[in-house]
Amino acid sequence: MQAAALSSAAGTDTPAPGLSYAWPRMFPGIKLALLAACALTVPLAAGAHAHLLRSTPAAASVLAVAPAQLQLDFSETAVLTSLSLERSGDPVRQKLTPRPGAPQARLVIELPPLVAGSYLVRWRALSADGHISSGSFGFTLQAK
Amino acid sequence: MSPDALYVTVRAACFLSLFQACGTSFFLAAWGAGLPRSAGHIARLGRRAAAVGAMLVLAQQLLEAARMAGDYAGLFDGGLQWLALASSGGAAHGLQAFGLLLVMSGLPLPTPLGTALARRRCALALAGSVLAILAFTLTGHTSVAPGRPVLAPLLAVHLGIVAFWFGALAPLYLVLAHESQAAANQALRRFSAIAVFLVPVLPLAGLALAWGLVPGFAVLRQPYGELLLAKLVGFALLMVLAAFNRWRLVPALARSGHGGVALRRTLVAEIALLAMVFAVTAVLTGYYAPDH
Repeated sequence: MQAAALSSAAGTDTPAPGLSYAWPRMFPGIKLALLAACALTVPLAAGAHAHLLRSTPAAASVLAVAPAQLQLDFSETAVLTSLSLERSGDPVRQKLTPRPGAPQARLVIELPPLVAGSYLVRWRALSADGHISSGSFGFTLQAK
Repeated sequence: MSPDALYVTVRAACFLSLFQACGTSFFLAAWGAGLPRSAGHIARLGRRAAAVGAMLVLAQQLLEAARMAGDYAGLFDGGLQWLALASSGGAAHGLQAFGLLLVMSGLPLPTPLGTALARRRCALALAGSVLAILAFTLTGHTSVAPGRPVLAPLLAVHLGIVAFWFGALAPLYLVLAHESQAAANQALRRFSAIAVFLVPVLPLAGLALAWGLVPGFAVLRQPYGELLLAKLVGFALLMVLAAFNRWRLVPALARSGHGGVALRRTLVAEIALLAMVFAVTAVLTGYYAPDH
C-alpha cells in the first residue's frame, strides 16, 4: 500500500506485487549484464596455480661442488617475482630476483660464488590465474 | 604482519563491504519503494559500503606487489606494480572499483523513490553491482580452468546470491528499526519469499564449482579442502539461523508484533557468521589452490 501510495504521488506506475517498480524497467540492463556474463566465459589463459615441480640443485640435496646456476621447473608458466638465497648463520638474505620477464615454466638463474654451508632458497611467482605462489627449499654445500 | 597476512585481512574486509554495497543495491531496487522511512538509511549504508569497498580494492591492488616481492619494499617497486596492474587480478580490481564507483554514484537516491530520476539512479547502482560481481570471474581459479564456460557463470550466480543474501541483512535490520510494523512485515515477507528459492541455489552452485575445480576427494585432507569444509559448516549454521528466522521469528512478528528485538539479534548473528565465512574464503582464495 505504501509503495503504491508513493508511486501514485510521484505520478508513476503502480508497482507490481512482490517486487517494486525498478525491476521491470531494468530488463535492457539485465540483458546487457547477461551478455557481459556470456563474454566472460571465454577462457582467459591456459594454466593454473603454478607450483614448483623440481629444482636443480634438488631440495635437501648435499653437493660437493658449488652450483653455478639454479634451475626451477614449475607446473605451469609463471613470472618469477622474487628469489632469495639465505646461508645458515648469515644475517643477510641475498636477493637474486631478476626483473620480471615473460611467463616461463623453466627458469635458470645464475648464482654467485657460494661457500660451504646450508642454503635456503625462497621463491615467489605470479601464476596465470593471477595468484601468487610461494615456496622454499634447502640444499647443503659441503666443505672441500 | 607479513604482506600475505595483511592482504588476506584486507581481502576479507573487501568482501564484506563489496557484498554489502551490491546487496544494498539489489535490496533497494527490489523493495525500496515500499520503505519510506528506512530507504534513505539503507542507501547511506550502501554508499558508505561502496566507498570503503573501493578503497579496500585499491589497497588490495597495491599490496599485490608487496606479496610478489615477499616484503613491503615491493610497494615501491614500479616494475612489480606494473606487473600487478597488467595481471588478471589488476583487471578484476579495476572492474570492481569501477562498479563500486557506479554504486556510490547511484545510491544518493532522491525521494520520493518512484520518480524517473530515482529509477535511473537505482539502475546505475544495480549495473555497478553486477559489474563488481562479474569482476570476480576475471581472475582466480575459474578464469583459467578448462570448464570456464560453465564455472564462470556458476561463480557469478554463487556470488550474486551471496550479495543478495548478505547485503539484505543490514537493510532488514534498518527496516525493523525505522519502519512501521506493517511495512516491516511486508518487507520481511517479500524477502523471505525470494530468499527461500535463491539461498538453496547457493550451496548447489558452490558444490558444482568445487566439483569442477577440485581434482578429487584427496584435497579434503589438504588446507584447501579443510577450508572448503569450514565454509560448509559455516553455511550449515547460517541455514539453521535463517530457518529459525523464517519459521519462528518472522511469523511471530507478523502475528503479535513481538519478536522484533530477537529478529534483529539473529540478523546480527547471521552477519557475524557470514563475515567469518568471508574470512575463510579470503584465506582459501588468497593462499591456496584446488589443484595441489
